[in-house]
Amino acid sequence: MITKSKNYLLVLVLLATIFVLPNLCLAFSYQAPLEDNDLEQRAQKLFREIRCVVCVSQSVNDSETELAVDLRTLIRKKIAAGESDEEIRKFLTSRYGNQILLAPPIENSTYVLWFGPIIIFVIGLLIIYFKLSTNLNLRKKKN
Amino acid sequence: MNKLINFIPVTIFTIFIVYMAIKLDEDKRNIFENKNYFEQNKLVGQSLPKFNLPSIHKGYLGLNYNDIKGRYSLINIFASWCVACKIEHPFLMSLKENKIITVYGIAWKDKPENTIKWLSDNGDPYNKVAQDYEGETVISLGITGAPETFLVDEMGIIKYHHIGPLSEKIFNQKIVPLIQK
Repeated sequence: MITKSKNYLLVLVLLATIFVLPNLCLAFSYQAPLEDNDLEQRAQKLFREIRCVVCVSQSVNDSETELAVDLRTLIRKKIAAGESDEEIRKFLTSRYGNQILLAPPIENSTYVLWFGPIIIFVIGLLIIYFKLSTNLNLRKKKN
Repeated sequence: MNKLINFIPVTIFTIFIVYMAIKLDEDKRNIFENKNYFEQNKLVGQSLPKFNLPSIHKGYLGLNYNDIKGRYSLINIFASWCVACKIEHPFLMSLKENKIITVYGIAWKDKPENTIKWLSDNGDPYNKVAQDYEGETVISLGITGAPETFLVDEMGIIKYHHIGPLSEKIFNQKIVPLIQK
């Protein structure tokens, strides 16, 4: 009888661990979640755009380093204070440079990066088109 | 002539790939040589961002960005949990003992009692020590870790930024020439 009640207790503790603990963790890791859903959405979008300065191949959204947590807190704070996304990006790039943005901005030095592949693709398409049309013309002439 | 045209896409593609490879290699070399992706702090050459931090000591005046103007000084970001900070500490102490330059400390994400204990154990090389427990000012300074050091001139313009422990060699090579100008 005693063992049975002990078992119940064990199950209870386990259930509590499974269901309550993660919620507690969420409450702690989510520093200052914004109540306004639209603002929080904007914050989340920015988190995915901003590079973690410690672990450079991750976004601030994916990283749990202290600096990433602080950056998320700061971004939320700035959004709540009414700053625009562009102002926040500008604030960060004026400190950390363009490297802080995961996607390089479109500017003189990155035109080749952004548009090079598209241009090459279009040239390829044009050449295929002309090739095919001359081939078709040749066949027509033969027929 | 027609055959040559066939090679145009391949040629352009090759040039593109080679160009990208060179650029990527430059980027990689930058990372490895400087050991940091964010080596170039964009604030160098600009005035110090506004900040106002509390002191680590209760009841003492904190550190304001205006305090730092008036003479060449260093701002050193450190913490008691930071291992590399211990390496540069003796050098910072020698700067104070020989009265070479004023050094302000910002203890980053460190409990004030821990900072105070660390400074009493290892010596206090700082003119003033402020705390940035929230880590907000440190982000506005473009910091990526500890220790990092800024050289600020008498007008409050950031002249130099160093990532990692400061040493006599770096100080003499990089910082002294900037002060003597």
